[in-house]
Amino acid sequence: MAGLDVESNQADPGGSPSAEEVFEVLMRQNAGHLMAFIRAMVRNNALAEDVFQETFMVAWRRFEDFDRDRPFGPWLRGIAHRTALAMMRKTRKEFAVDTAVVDMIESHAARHERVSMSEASSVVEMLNECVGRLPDRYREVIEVLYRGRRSISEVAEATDAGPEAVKKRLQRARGMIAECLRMKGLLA
Amino acid sequence: MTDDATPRRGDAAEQADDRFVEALLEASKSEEAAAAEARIRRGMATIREVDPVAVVSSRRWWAVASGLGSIAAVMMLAVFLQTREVRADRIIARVLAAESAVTALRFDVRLEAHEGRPHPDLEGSIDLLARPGGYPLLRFEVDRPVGRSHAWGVDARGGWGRSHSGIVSRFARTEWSSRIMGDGLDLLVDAIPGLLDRVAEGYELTTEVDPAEAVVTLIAVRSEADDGSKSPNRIRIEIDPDTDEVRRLVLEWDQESDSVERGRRPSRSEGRLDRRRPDDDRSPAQFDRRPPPAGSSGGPDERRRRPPPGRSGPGRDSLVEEVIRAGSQGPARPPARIIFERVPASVFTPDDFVPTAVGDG
Repeated sequence: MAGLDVESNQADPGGSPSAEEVFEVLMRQNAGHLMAFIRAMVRNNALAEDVFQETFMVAWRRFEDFDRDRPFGPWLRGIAHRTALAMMRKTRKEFAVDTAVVDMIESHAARHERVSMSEASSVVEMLNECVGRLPDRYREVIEVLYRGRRSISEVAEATDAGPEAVKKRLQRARGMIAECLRMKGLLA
Repeated sequence: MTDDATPRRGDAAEQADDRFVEALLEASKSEEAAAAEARIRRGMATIREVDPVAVVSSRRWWAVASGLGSIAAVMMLAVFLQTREVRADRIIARVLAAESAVTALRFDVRLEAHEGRPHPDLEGSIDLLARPGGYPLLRFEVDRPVGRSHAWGVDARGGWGRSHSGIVSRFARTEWSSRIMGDGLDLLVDAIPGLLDRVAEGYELTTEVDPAEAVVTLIAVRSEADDGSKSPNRIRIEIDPDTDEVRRLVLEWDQESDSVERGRRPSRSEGRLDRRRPDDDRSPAQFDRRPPPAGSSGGPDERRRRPPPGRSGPGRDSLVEEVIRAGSQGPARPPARIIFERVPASVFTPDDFVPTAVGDG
């Protein structure tokens, strides 16, 4: 991060970036795995958006303290973790996320970060490939729910399967996707 | 998120897998690209609002609105558009609202050199694709004159350059860059919302409405003409009033003498580059303030990967060296004019941004 001037937050006249610019670039680089981590933590889109914004703010306030010899992603997720727990308590959402689960989610997010930064395939491409490999009945439920923006009850109605059966199928599908992503190195 | 059943086993790994895959599936939704961009813009707008050093007081309301996302902008427009007066800030808000949802862009591009310069005019095209969960992909192809054709881009593997002789080189650069070097000319490319945001600072804005041509033109003239900035002196943004999308964009630079340029542009040897000079009172939000390219200043890891000064990686040709050098040392001499003509963007796939190893020269 040559050229970072946290104290003045100004662009260098020779073209070096300001702290604000560096921060924006880092946030753009890390937004994907950060949001995945937050979503996995809170499992609620509206709350995830709030946690993301609060993490953004806290990270900026503490940016001056960030040790530039250490990677940015884990530091950011550490802030997100604390922020998510605080906001889940505040909103009385599920707050007792098992520490072991959080640790595993953190491991997945760290791999997501590495793949995003350096691998030939993007995370989305890996995911699409794994969805494409699912047996039809599982792929359909994933496609309709996540790409067709339909609810579980709508899918249940359309397939005569019943909501519980759709949920089970969905869970099984995600399990198969997880195995596929693990084979690709995206999951720990 | 879906309200699926609790995982059958309480196993931590299984729960984590399930939660994380669900998060990835959420991120794969078609609307995620626009949402991700809005997330960043909202965050940046917020920190500029709360940070007293960031000169936020001069920011227009619509610059903040862009950070809050297109919905907020549209809601504000519903109030502001109750009069018939045409104002630049209102136009920009409308364009921001329209462009925020765009994920694929294609422009025909023409770069015109200043009179007397050795560079020929260049023509080509730029394709841009925003992707959910990944950095945007870019492809800049110069195809005229034929003897100087070359290309530069960012695909899923990172940055690449293709010289006019067809040599394809890769370099570690995966981040969106607002600046592209093309054959010695400086081409500034920005996502439309980012461009409009930058125009808000340091430019005097006026508007023209041509009902016959069905076009609204936003004219931005740089306020500080003598500050050494490499920002365009004038920007014309032609907007389709029906769709609020940018139809044509013209960036113009005044010609400067070499001696003036040398006097204005500090070199790396003139002192520390990580400190703002005490006598510099430039606005921190001028047009040419760009994110650092990831390959040159994106973090400690990127620093370690960068070859030492003066040592090229194997197989790199002069074009790629030019791109890398320009990314770390600032702009070269800008052209007289860059004209972007928007053309309908077909459906892009990531494969469209992979370099084609053809001998195109």
